[in-house]
Amino acid sequence: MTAAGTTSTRASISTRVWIDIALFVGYVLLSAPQTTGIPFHEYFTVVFIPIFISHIVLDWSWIARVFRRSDRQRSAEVRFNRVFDIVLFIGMVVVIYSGFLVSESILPDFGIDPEVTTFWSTIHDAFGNLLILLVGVHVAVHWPWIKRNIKRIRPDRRS
Amino acid sequence: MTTWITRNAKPILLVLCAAVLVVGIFEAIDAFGDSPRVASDSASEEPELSGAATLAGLIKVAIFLLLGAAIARPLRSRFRPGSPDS
Repeated sequence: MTAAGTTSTRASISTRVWIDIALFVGYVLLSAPQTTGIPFHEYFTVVFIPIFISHIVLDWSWIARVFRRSDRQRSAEVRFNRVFDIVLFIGMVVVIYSGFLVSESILPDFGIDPEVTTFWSTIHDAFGNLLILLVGVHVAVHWPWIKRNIKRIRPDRRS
Repeated sequence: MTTWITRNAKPILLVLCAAVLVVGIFEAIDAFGDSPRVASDSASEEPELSGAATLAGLIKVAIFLLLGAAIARPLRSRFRPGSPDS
């Protein structure tokens, strides 16, 4: 997530940082249904999905660069990010999709009674927990970018 | 908003197609397994948490996130400092 490599998305650093913050806060809230309650957990997912897609699209030039880079140029970090981000994406998609299949609130509210199977229920719980761990790794790996750009968008208090 | 979506139509479509592919793979796995249905009343059996117990959810998330960050520490030390890839 380099600051210089994002001109093709035409997104400002400020937009990207705020989307990342919204995504992280939203993710934390979604990961704690015991705290927020099942209706919030399910309805907020609908808000979370566009934020998640925006996070990927706003960093698209970085993603394209990482995936296009030839084998010789691949640093350990690029190699790691390639695999890890795919795993993270798969995990997020599976957790969101399985969440709808085991819905107790949003789908019944719309008159749909999903047939909850043990497969999707187990997948939702297991991937949900694993994903929190993976998000922790993702944030920590990109922490230098986050720290650098939060400093950049913070208003200068001296002026 | 519409302009942004139009401008980024290609990555948005690729993300959606990748998501459909992932869902398709997992649906195929499920189709092979023929997993049993969860008893309809078991979903509502979860006890209602109140007070401090509701904090347990956030504490669990915090612990898992910190654990993930701890796992990333040895990884980050292997990456070049100041690398534009981060």
